[in-house]
Amino acid sequence: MTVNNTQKKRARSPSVLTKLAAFAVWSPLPVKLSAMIWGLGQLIYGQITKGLMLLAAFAGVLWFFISRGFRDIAGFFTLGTVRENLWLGVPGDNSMRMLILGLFSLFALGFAFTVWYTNVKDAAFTARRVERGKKPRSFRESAAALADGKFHAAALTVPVIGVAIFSILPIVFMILIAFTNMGGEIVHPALAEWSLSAWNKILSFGKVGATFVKILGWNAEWAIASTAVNFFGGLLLALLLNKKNVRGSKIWRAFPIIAYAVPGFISMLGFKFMFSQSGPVNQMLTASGRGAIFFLSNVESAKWWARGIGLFVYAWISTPSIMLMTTGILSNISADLYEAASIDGATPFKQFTKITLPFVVFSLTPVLISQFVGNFNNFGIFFFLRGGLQSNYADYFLASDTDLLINWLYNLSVNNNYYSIGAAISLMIFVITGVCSLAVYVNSKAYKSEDTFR
Amino acid sequence: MTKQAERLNTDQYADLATDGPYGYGPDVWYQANDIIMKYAQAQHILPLPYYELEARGQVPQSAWDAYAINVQGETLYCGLPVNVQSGMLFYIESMLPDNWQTDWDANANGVPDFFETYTALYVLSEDIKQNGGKTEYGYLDELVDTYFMGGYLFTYGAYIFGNNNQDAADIGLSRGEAVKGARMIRQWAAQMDNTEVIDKSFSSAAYNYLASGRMLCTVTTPDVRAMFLREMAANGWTAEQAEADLKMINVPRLPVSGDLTADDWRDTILRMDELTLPTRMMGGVNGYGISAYTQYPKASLAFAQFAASYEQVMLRNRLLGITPARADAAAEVGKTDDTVRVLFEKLDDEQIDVMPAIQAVGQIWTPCESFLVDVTTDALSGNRGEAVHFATDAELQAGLDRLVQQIHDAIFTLQ
Amino acid sequence: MTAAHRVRPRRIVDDTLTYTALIIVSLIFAFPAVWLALASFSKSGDLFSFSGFFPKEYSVNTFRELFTNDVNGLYPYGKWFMNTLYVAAASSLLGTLLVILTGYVMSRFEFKGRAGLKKATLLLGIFPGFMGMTAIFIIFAQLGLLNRLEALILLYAGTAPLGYLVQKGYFDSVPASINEAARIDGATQLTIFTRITLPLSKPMIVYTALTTFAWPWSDCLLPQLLLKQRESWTVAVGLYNMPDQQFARFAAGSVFIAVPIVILYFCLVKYIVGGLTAGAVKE
Repeated sequence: MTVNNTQKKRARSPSVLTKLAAFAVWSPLPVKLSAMIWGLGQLIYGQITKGLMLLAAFAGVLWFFISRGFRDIAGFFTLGTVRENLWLGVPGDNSMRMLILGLFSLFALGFAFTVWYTNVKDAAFTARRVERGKKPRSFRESAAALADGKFHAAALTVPVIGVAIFSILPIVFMILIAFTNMGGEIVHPALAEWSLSAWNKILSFGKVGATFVKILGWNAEWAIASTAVNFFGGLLLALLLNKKNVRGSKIWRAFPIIAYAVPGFISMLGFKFMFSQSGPVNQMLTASGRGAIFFLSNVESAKWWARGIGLFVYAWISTPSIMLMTTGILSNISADLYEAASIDGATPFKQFTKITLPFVVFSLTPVLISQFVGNFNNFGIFFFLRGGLQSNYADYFLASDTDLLINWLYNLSVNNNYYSIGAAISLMIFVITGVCSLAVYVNSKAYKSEDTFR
Repeated sequence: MTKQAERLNTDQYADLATDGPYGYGPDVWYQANDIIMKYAQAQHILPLPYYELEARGQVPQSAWDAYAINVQGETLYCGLPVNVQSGMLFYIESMLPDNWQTDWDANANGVPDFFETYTALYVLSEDIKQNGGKTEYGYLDELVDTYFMGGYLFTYGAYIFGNNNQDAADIGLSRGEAVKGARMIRQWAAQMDNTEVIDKSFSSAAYNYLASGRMLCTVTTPDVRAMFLREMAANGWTAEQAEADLKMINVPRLPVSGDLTADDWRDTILRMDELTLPTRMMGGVNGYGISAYTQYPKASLAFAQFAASYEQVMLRNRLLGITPARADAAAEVGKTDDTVRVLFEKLDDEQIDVMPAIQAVGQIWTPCESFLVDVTTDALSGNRGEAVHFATDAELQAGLDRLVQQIHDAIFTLQ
Repeated sequence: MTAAHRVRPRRIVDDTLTYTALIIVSLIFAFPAVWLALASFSKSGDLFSFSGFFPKEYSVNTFRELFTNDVNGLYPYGKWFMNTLYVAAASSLLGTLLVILTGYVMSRFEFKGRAGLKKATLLLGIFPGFMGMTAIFIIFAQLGLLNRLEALILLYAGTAPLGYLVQKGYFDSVPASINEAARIDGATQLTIFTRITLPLSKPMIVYTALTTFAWPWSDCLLPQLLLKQRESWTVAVGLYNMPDQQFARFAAGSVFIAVPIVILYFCLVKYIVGGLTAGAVKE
């Protein structure tokens, strides 16, 4: 299949060139003018509104790139040349800002190219219409066509721009940071440069590398355990509430829904108070003469307590959603199946393992995968329960024994300014989780069947 | 955007390096010296025209040093000291044992002996634990707080950074006889036998502990006095009674032996100079710093000068009970307030180890806390049937050395 | 007769076990919430003055203080609450529109780059998001939107379309035949979307509005990053920065922010189940 694809591509690539050449030969003057100055062709064809809009956009783009865009792109490569002296008031460059502004200008360049391409295509479209003796479209017709024939493009523009600026741009920025030496001493006003120093530090397996491996192990355990607990907990809850002999299941269901609805950080901070050294649980233990337990303290004995409490708190917060999902799924299983199974003499247990479980697992696979990724990167639980700790044994470097990778990189990059190391680690997290989940997901039945167009 | 001269929001400081370049954040800050100076090296804070400052002659050199930075052989000062912070002993007078004047004043100086040396305080606490008393505990403290426990190490020759707290490569927390201090912290943990003190939140729990009569005394900074008063009001005191009944005094002295149980407590009182040392404390100097991103450096300086002037510092003392860093204000307040006098003298005598003024100081807190948690938890491990790791001085010394290594790693590994 | 005799005891055992389990489960889920709610009525306000789990004395004072006494501007809860409401409502409005649109387009339209977009959103979902926080901070600083609630609205609404899969799942399950019929009748895509699709997808709109509302309502990391002044904080940031000795204030503030959302969830539980299932079930 892949072989086929590449062959196709190879076969197609010369034809693209020939097409381009043919286009250049065919295209009448207005199209060529549009290719140089946006909207000019449209104006010649009498599409005044559209032409003026494109012309205005062209002026805007030119103004942006001349006034700052090209400079920003240059800054993207240099990351600054003049160091600011704050005490003497000598202005200078800010590497981080230059990186992001340069990136933004590159994005803008891509966007400008898209608009240019659309503009040429539009001019060519009109030219063909004219060739066939039709009148160029009026602005109203064009707008209507955009809203109709190109509805998807019009509808997706705003979401795509929003995601590009607020999600893709920051992520690309983060990836790039991993290849600079930013962080530590190198923060504004010091100037940064492109460098692989972060990778050297991680891959040289010194303190950073050793801690990475140790945390990765626990992180994997956590992701598996929490996903499993969540799934089975939610399933059991749903089955319990769905039992035929349960009366008032709506009322019983209300309790898990409370847990689901209470904002997560409140629950987590509440549990932290509850299990703290002076908290009520320990007060009760002390009062009953059993002696306090170090639940969340920074001691070695608290390691498994804290991990267990983390798991419990996580389950408390998220099993209700799985329960609700499973309830919905269970109601989708046709009762006939169970009836038929009963007639065939299948025990309730057999019915569960042969009908219910496979159906639920199949339906929940995509959710479980995304939950697995979410759990692998579950920042909140240990941030709220045990933030700001550092374990004093087993050589954890700026980390505690409950920290997941994501908590560790928060410590590194936010609390200690080690930006490039943090970015490199998050890139590695991404590769690990990304490769795993994408492989599973793309190969899952759900994804393949769902990709077919309806 | 940065027009507000000074803000109440003392928690906005954390972001000067990130916010400042974009024009956010206050122009003038009032903060502890370590926080202000964290930003000095990278020039986020402006150096002050030291020789033109009105407060120059009034503020002791040790307070200025808290804001000193060395740039190409020249010493610059980036903060204007306003008040001194350090640990003080808090207690409620009516909770003192009834017999203290007869049984606990061997030197007849009118000060309870158990507030004069830690050896005596240990004996009293042990007595209360065994035989009961007005309170459930004698002395309790947040044993995992570097700020308050650092004194135990400093008294025996440890220090934070070498070369006048300027050299981050020379971490001195395990130097001298620091191990004695660590040993005594462990002794306290065993004596207190309370797991709440092995947690950061004890500083908050302490208000209730004191006000509800569960403990006799604790060590904390003067600025939380109002919290004790509030809690006392909730426990039946009237505002005036609470004000009169809550006392704040200098911390007790530490035994030369480095062992709270080695000496007879009466000896430590009667032969005080021979058997005990004045307890050094970690301290801070709060003051004003001016953001390098301010649009109005002159106005900011004028404001800082005004706010650090004699009248304003006196006002601050009246309203908040702070200990002035200015000699004239301290002398005036000190006439009626011993606490202020003692604290100022300690600062003047360099008895207070002021937090270093370099950025690396940010890396000492978490490892120190981890170490203190380990040592104090270890004191309880024996009774809980867990393995004991810090029974001997050698083990404690190894722990301190590991602590130093950890701090060193945190500072240098990624640079 | 004999059969009934055999069944009876079994049923009693089953009932007993079931209800025991139900009671235990309910206790586990209800207790922390009840604990927090009661703590908010504590008279002393300090967690450490409780005896065991519950306060010694109760009063509604904390709730009164929450709104009337902001301790010299340290805890302006009323302001925070209005900020949160504004951000959550506006993000929900904008976000819902964008997500529904995205889900609808991704479900009903075949176009070049659709598969690419799908894979890209999957990839983006895998990234540990907050590493981009530094960049987000700089972007908003550059736009001059720090300390502005609108920055949060832009951010929440702008990134909401990334979660379009649930909505897509829902539209996948709605038969496309109505669309085709309308198309034959000459309706434009825009008309189909506004006149047919939107009215038909009320359950999904409710679900989407609820989730896009709940997220800003309880997020504390992004507001912490972008809002530097206390008076422009949201409730979550304020509560997160509340010290231990203000425990009752924390609890009261939590109750006050949690109750509306809990009520919403209860009223809309039908839609939530529908929404969650739409996201899950892919035949």
